[in-house]
Amino acid sequence: MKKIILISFIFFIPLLPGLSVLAADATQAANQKQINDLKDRLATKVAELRQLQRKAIFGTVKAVSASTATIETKTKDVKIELTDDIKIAQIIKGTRTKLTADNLDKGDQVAVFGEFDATLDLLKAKVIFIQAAPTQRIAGMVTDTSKADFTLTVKTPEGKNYIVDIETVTKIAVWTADKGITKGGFSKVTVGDTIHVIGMAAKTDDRISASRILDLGNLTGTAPAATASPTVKPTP
Amino acid sequence: MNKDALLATLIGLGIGLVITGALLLGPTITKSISFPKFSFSFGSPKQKPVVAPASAPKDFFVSIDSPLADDIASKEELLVSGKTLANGMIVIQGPKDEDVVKVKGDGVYAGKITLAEGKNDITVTAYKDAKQVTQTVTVYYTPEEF
Repeated sequence: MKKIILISFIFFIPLLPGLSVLAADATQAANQKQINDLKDRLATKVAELRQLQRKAIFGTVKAVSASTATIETKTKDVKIELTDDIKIAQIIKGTRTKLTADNLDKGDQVAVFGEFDATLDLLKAKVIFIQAAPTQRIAGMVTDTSKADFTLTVKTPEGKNYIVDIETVTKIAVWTADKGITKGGFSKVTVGDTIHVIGMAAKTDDRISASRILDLGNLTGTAPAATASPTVKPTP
Repeated sequence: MNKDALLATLIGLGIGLVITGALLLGPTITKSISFPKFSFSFGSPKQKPVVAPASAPKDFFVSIDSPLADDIASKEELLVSGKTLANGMIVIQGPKDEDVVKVKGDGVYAGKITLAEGKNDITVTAYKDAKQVTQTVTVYYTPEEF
């Protein structure tokens, strides 16, 4: 009996390396197949994303034709395709008005929404919004107020002084720790307050026509010393 | 056939099957078993646990974590969040309104603003100890579906 068992073992010993190689190969092949499948799926997804990607750009219309337009952005010129189902809109006299591609003119500032085709380097425009002139923003400390001219002098942290014109349409809000943001007025803005201003740039670069002002109050607890402010000229 | 030879063949076949099974299933079974780890470092001084430095930047800063630059927002109302120094104050300024928020003890802030159609520049200004620092991010919004 012992002999039989010994013979059986001797029979199978030469087979062992072959069997182990076979087993390892089978496992490796299965793993490799899984990796390859994953790679293929990933590559397909990346290709899809590269090919068509939702994108928005902002710039000035440089050229426009029946089916394409060129938008000059901060970094480069982008060619856009004007699709048949394109939606174009603009705020005219406070109302969102729907327009057509014919209303698109050279020099318009537009935000273009669409699908970017990386292979063609082309933005297939779906929505174009014609924007108004960009606003200007400043933040700083009030160094002077003029009730006669309805102006504020604001000094920014960079040291630049601005004259802020308070218009009839200017909305002034005041922030306090306990009440949050509440409606304010020109008379509540005092020297030493820190304010944030949004408005339109005036003819000179040191003047802003304010559309909105947020007064944060006196954050430093001290009133600033009188500074040389730009010459105040009443607005025409 | 000899009785002994038949028996030897059967035993050999049985052993072969057991070995083949072990080889095929062995790698899978051994992966699921976690063996104890032994270290044989003798006489080496005990290493002190490495403590990551607390994220307390010395300079005054403000970062915008959300939204990402040039993102296309899906809703008119947008949540702006990020980090700055603890216990400061943040002013988030959008095209239509502002939000003023107190910064939590961990330096995290979050506030809401309303977007306008088109390009929206969002300015985040942090105030602390009479100092201010500003970051800006641009997002796009349209109520149209595309």
